[in-house]
Amino acid sequence: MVGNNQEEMLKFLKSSIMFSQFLLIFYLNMIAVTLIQPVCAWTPGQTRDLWTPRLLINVPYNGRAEGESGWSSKIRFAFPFGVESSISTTIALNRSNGECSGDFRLCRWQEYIYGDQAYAVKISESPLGYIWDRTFYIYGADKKTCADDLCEVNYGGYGSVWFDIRYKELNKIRDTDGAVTEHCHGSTYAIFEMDIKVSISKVSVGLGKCYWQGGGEWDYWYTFSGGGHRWYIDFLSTETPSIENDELWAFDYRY
Amino acid sequence: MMSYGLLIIAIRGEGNMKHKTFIFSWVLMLAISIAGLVISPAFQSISIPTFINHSNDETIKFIGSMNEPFLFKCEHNISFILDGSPEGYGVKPLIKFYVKIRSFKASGTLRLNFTIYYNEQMVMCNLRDEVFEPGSEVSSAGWIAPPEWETKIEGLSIKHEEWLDWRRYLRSGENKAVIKTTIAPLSGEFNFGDGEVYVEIGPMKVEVQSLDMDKDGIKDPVDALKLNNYLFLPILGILYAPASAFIEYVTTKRLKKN
Repeated sequence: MVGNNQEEMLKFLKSSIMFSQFLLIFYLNMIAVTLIQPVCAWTPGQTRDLWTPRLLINVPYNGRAEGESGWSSKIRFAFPFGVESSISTTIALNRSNGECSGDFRLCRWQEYIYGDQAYAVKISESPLGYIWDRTFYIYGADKKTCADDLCEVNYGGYGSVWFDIRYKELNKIRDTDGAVTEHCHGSTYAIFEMDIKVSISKVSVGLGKCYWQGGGEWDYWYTFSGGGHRWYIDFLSTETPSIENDELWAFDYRY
Repeated sequence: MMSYGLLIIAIRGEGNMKHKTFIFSWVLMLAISIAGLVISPAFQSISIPTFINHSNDETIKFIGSMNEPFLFKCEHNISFILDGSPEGYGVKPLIKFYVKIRSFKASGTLRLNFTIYYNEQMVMCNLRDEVFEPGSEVSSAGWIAPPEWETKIEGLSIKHEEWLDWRRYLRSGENKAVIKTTIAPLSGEFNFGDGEVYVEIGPMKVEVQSLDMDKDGIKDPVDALKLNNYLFLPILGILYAPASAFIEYVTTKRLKKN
């Protein structure tokens, strides 16, 4: 009788261990399936350190411009197939007389290859072990027009991501008798858009778009001097252009 | 949760309450675990504030002539207290700056160097180069803050919050964050001449946030488990089943001997 009881207890002990092992495997498997996301199928390629814009500003000749990003603002670099990188910014720039400028940060970009296409994501904002920000003038040979603005900058042996905020088309004419300041504010939508090209190696080039991240706050103030001048203005948007939903303008000074 | 199955088997047994010791020890161990892993930390968690903003409102100003070399240095600091595990906090130091350069003949680059220290250990250095030309008036302003960014590939989102990496420099109790600022012309790139520079540094802020990385509602400074407590409890329940069966086995054996 005693032997039977002991045998039964041992059986219970063994079955409890087996049962708990089975439950443990089942439970951990369930957690793994629910929580762990599929591993990315993209093949990583080369890395490159590039000056990356955090704030860009076009300035009317014979005028002033001030650009400011709000506390939670981010610029989003979006490529096809859901490849996206962002950079946060809490910067304001104030420039005058056609001196179009930008605030840039040296960032490390990693190339990813998907089929025969290459895209890039930003993987570090301190590739040299420290953060390095720099303001650049991006106006071209003629301060009177933004049509020849630079599309890339170079410093310290580092190139930049390709950006395009050049004047392209007439959206509005601004004539002044007295000085005028226009305030352009954006908040929730992807308001400003520009082509962004990240060339990591000579062979592969990723082409995407750059947006002001929805939810961020962006303000630009453009001051046009008085005295009978005329500027052509390009709202630089691929969405419906209007004063209400476009912050970044480009200028062509006429007289 | 799964081990409730085993519990039900044990209760069903032959009629009523065959494995009393098993059930009693399993329930007791689980109750102690719930108290230790959930109830007690949850109560302690209430007393830990989610967010505290410490600030040093001092604004240090500098006016320099660009006719000759200059060097401007200043320092801001804030002391703050962390209760519980320092690893459970996200501490974000920030400093405001304003630079205005008015140049007639000078040109070049002004370098601002912001270095952040936690308890005398350097955690971040942010260099900022302000470029200007003769005859220009430029100004820049903003906050020097730890980088924060996101990357997405094929639905996989990676969020980077730099200050989370700095938690290892923090300690339980009093901590000190220092931001040292140095401003000087960038040698080799500066042509001295008529012009002036105006700088304002400050105020400084330290944002202290108690984290909940495992998203179990228990703030990390008082959460002993890095794993989500609620996900971990069923694992304990499962592991307690063979432990309880062993206790019952030993107890029955001893009772039989006596």
